[in-house]
Amino acid sequence: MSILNVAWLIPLFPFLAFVAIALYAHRDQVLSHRLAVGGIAGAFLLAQIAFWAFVLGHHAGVPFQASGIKWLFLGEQVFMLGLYIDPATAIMLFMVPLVCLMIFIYSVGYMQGDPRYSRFFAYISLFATGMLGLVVFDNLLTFFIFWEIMGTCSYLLIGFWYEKPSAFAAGLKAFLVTKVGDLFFILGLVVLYAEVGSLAYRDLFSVATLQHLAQPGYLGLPVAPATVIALLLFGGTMGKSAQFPLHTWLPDAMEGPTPVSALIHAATMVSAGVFLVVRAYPLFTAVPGVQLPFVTVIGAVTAMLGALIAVAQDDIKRVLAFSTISQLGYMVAALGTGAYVAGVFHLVTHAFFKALLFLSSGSVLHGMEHAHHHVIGESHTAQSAFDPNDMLSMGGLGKRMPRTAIAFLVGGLALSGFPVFTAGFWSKDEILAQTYVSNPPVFGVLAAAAALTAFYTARQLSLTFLGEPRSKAAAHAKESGDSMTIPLLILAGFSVVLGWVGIPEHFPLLGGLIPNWFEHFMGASLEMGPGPAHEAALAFAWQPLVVGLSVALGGLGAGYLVYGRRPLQSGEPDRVLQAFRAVKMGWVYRALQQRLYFDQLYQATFVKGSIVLARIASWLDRAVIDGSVLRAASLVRAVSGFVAWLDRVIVDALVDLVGRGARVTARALTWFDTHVVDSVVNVASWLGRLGAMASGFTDDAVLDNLSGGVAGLVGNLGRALRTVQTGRVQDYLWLALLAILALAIVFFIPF
Amino acid sequence: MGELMFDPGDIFRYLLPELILLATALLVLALDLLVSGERKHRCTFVAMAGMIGALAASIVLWAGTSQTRTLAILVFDPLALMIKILAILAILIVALLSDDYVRARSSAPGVFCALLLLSGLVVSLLASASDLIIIFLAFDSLSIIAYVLTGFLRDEARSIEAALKYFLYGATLSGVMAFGFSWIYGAVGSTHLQVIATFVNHNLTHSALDLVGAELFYMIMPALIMVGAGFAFKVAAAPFHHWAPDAYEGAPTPVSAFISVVPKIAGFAVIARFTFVVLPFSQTNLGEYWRALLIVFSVLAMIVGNLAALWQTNIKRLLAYSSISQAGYLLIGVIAGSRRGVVALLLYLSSYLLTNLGVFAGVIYVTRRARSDMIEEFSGLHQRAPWVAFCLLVGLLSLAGVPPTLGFFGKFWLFSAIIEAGIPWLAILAVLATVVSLAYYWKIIRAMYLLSPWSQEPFPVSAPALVVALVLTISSVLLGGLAPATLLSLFERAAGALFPG
Amino acid sequence: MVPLSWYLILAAALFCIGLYGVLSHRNLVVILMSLELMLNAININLIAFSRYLEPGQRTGMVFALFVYVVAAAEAALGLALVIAIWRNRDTVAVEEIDTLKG
Repeated sequence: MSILNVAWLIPLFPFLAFVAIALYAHRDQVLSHRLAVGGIAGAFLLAQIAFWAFVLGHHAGVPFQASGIKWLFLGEQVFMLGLYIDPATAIMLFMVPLVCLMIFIYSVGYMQGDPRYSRFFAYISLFATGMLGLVVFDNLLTFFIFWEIMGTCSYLLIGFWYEKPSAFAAGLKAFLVTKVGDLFFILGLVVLYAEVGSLAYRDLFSVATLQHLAQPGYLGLPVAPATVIALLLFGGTMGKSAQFPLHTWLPDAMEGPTPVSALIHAATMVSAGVFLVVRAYPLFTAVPGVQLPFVTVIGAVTAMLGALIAVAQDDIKRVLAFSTISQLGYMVAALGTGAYVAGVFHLVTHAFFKALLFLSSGSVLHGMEHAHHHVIGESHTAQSAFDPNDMLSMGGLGKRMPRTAIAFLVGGLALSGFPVFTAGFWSKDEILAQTYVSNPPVFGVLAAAAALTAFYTARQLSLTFLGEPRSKAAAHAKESGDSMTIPLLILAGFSVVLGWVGIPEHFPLLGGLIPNWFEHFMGASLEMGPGPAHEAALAFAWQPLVVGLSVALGGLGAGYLVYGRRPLQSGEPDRVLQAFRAVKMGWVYRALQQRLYFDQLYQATFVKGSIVLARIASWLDRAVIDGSVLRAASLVRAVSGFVAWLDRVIVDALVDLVGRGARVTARALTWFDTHVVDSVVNVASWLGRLGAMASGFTDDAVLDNLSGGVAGLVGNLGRALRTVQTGRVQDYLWLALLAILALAIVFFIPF
Repeated sequence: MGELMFDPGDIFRYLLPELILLATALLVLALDLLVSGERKHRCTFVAMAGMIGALAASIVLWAGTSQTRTLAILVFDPLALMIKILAILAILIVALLSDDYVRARSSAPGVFCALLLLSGLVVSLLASASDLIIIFLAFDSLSIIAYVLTGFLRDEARSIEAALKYFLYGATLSGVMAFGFSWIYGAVGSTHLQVIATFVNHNLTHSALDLVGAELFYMIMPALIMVGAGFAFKVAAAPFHHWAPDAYEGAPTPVSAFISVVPKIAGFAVIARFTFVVLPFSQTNLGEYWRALLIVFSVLAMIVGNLAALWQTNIKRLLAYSSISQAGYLLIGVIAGSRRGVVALLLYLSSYLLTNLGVFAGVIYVTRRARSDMIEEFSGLHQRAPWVAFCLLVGLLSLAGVPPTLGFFGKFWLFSAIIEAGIPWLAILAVLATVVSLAYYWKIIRAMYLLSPWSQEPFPVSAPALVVALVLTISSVLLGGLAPATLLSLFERAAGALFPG
Repeated sequence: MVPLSWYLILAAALFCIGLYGVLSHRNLVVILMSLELMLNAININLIAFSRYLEPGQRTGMVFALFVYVVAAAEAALGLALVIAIWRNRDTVAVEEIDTLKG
């Protein structure tokens, strides 16, 4: 019994916290947050145990598997619920509970005073359950179930302040847009199950299965099932990880409370999409096909797009949202080009520094909002349209909120890949180095995106923390409390040191000082798997390093020069906007500010599309169908004209005949009525009398009662049958039941 | 006759009628959403085009099919394809005769047409069904479509009441039928008709339950009674007919036409296949009991339907009881248990389809002006609308089985088949029932031709589709009556699927 | 292991309870619930047979799934009809819905 079996309990703790809060503790705010934090802390401890046990005790690359519970029976198919811990899982087990714990603690301060305080902690506990369950269990079916639990929580949390119409709409949007991706995901699972007959990782990643999936000829098409499955699964990733073109929900998701933004939309849920690719990587690499290039292109486009749009956003959280989109694009592109280890590495470091950035920005907002209320309370002015998220009304916060500023600075430097000290540098450098070898055009795109990243980070830092306050709120902002700032500092620490576990061996000077543990650890799982042989550590190449260094430093420097050296004055338009205006290209900036009109595009295509479609249909209806209908109508008119003509000419000609015929018919029928029918009835009644007599009904009284013999009997029976038809359906059903019982009795008498 | 397996490309070919119906249904639903106002009624044309396409596809398939092809739980043989042709023809005629009515009374003609198309799809599946699961699913889908159509006029209390009664009765009986299915599955261990047949015919002495002989009988026989009750409900055979008069009366008249025909086609397709695949008579005791059950249904339907119809004053109710009695006649074709019986069944089914829809077309023509469904409304019709009166006359005579209509030949074949099968008393009873039926059909004829009209105002011809439906059906009834040999050869071929050689 | 017959008896009892509910309750909503009960009885039968008779197969389960589908459709339609009846007649008592008869 391996100690790794503690992993069973990891998702259980937050789940119990959720249940306890939902059922019992929801009236007690302090108890609620204690339960939630306690739950995630328990999960964190167990996860640390599992992580270290795996790292120290296992052959790297051999996944730990425990298959315990039969949880779903389907014919001969039994779905087993088990654990599957490989290096990727272990890394996630290290990262997820830690980040979650920080965010939970931070929330205790941030959500103070919210009327739905307890509910918030119930939701985020359930969310943590989803993320942890997704990580530890051993099959794609539970993966999908937990994935959907997270999706539901995400919807609930984004729309947490549902009184705000924008928050409600954002929640709905996130839910629906990610559902588009989920649809592909489940289709992928269906295809996978149909092909393999199992969704457990151990079956999926066996050599035989992968070879089977690599055989082309799926549904008679010249593609391998693996390609189809990989593309479908990647659809899920595109939704969850906000990849172009399904990225639009993520910026709106910032309507949720800031810890939610950090938890869901930076550190965990969005990385679940990338984790899906990591998890299913053997399927992606089983056969050369369109799937990896597709992944690469989507990732690179997303990285570039997110970075571009982030430059022109004024909302502090939206900058981070687009930066998240961009960084997720990085990871996806890395995975697509085969830089598996680098992708996972960036996933982990990004989780830390992006959570840090979000929580710092939350701290800033917290300060701004409180100061704003403070100011308004003093001056008794009417509530002005004040957006605490607007960076243009910040400035000078560095002096007023030093801890937050330091944390933000560390996070920002990590994000922009500031050399050597920050984790972001190492992971990003790794991606750049790998793509430089495998795919130079992607390398170019990613490098440009990196430059933009550094630039907008410098812009954000400058606008927020440097210069003089550009609003009263900014002037009166105060540093947030300890429960908020301490998690910041811890996360800041990780944002720095985490990079050191992945320093390439051949890096100048530093290489080899600390062994490249991450590379060995993660890479091992590739060596064990049937996927492409993991290449030995890349020989060091100076070009990508130089490019990486220069884009990071250049971007930061440029950002500082534009925004930091001479801080923006209150009311002054954005400098980049000024620059664009100078060359009469203001519309470019405006387009970026409007997020390249994606929302408008989707509004116009998918939402208005139905209306347009309706117009087209109505036009078609008028132009085409009307035409043909007119023709049809004229045909009908011709036919009816013909009928009318028939009516006039022939019928007129025949009218005498028909009239006569009708009269004859009528006369014939009258004759029939009086003679035949009556005599039939008479004969019948006579026959009836005869039959009745024959069967002993000789009594005249009986015959009289039958009033006319068989005919009367027939009529009376018919009348009796009418009374049965009461109009009440239950009476009918009673009759049906009696009929069934009678039939049963009749048919069982022979036995 | 060897069974051929499918290669994947064939799937689409053989499911072409169903696919056309499905695609058209979706298209019509979309159009109904997208198009607004008066133009919505154009959906009907699209729907009819789809039906004609599906009809053509199934005719082409029928012409090219001489062997039984099996696709897992679907069978494609000449019988199934013939049933499909009849069913699609029926919904096409219903679409024609409902066009004017729906246009006047409903704001969602597209939905109406889509439901018709889907019912065609479901009946097509039933025609090919050779598995209890798909029989259950398609039967219930058909019933649900029928409930919805019955309650289609949401704001009319009678329409809703009819739908509710139909629904409650139908859902309960479906439940009973499915309970029976579950026991058959439990006794046999499979839901496939062929497997059940093999089991019943060769393997009655042991089962996976270690039941033997009589015990197995105790398991299957009640199940068969429940299944029979479900089947009888679908075709409105007594004693499971009580829903029919109320549903017919309350439903919009074109829907009455629909539920008098389409579920019957489906029901008899399933009854025939179930009977002749699973329980061929005189091979097992069980088969004989099943036959006895069907005889009970048939006799009761003929008696109850015909007698209760005598006192009806509402034309729709009268036609409801008439259709109950027709179910009794149709059952005779199954009870005969021979190739001739199946031919007679198909002949009578097609005759009933054309005749009943024709009569309903005439009824719609008259009652849509009169706004009452009473038989008095037909008084003096021959003076006001002589052609309609004539068509109704032909239709009613065909329903009563008077020569030279198609109905006569249908009954003739039925009676000769049952006599050939050695149950002459059933034929005699059926003839007596027919004599009784003449009396109530006669009531309408007398009203049309002998009573004087309450108004001399002629009926205007303003519903071309309805007139087309009326003329089409009644002329087919006459033509078929004059030349039944062609039809017979077609049905001979279809019956060959169940009785080869 | 629970013997198969227990499941069958349970299903039969449930079916009869449902049938009794359909036959004797006034309230249409209760009748709909009783209908669901009947369909659930069928599912118990199917699942039990599937589990005991052919553990390697999944026919019974597939059948049960389809029964669920039909049950859902019927429930939706039934409730729609009840609402329509309520709007038309101001009642959901089944025995008051008897204008069509004879």
